[in-house]
Amino acid sequence: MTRTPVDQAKAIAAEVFEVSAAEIKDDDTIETLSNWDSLNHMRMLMLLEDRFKTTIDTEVAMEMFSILAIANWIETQKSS
Amino acid sequence: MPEDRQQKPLMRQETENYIIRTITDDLVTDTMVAWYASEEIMRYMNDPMNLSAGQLKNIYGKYDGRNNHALLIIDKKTGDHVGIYRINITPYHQQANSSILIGNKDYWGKNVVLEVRQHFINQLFKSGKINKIVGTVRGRNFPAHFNYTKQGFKKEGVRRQQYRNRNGAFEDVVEFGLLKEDWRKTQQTDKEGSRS
Repeated sequence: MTRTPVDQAKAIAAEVFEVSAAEIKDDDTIETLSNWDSLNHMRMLMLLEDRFKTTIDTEVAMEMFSILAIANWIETQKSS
Repeated sequence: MPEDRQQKPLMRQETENYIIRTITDDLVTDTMVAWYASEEIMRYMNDPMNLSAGQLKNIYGKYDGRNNHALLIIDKKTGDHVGIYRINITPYHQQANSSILIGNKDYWGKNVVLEVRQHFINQLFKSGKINKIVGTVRGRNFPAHFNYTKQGFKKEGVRRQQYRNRNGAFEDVVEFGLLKEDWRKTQQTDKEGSRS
């Protein structure tokens, strides 16, 4: 079964935050997840770059503070 | 001593977990020298690297303690030196530029930046002399992007390929700004939140 970009974003966040993906909600942000700190934020963006073999543009990185924003970025990677 | 060379005022402040003190010569130790020798720690800083204790004392001695502050962050419980917080104030524009270096890697991801900077954000705005606080961050400094955003700073722009990093590659720079009026709104929200 193909996972949606939101599911993929949640899976990556869960991997970095060392929690179950079920604990992460679609509308979670840096304000709602206590494990989402500055260090884990860096780990998550670097993991995304590693998985998708690309470099995240500065302007785009500045928007990636929610699960949905990360999912949107994953979506753009699939279509590019 | 000439009249214009008055003794530098020394600052000492406390947050919940940290003491923040003006960097005087006795606080420039081998620990700070080691921070300046670490490529990992200095990755996103504009400061020159591999400075001796004498050079660091000379640099930090030039902060006047009035409009330019160089402060050491110290763990209250352990006495560990954690990092350096710097503030430069331009009085006419009522603007403060701040930067922070967490040199002690044990404190990375421990919210030191949020705790220390929030203390000074509140102080600077409450002083009535500051209208805006700004920060300049390397494009790849994702932890700093996170911290500024979390504290309500707005991204005001990206200067593309503004600097070359220590490997010679060009890097973007992000300009962040926090206005006093935006800070006031967050204070109001906090008060309302605490009533509910």
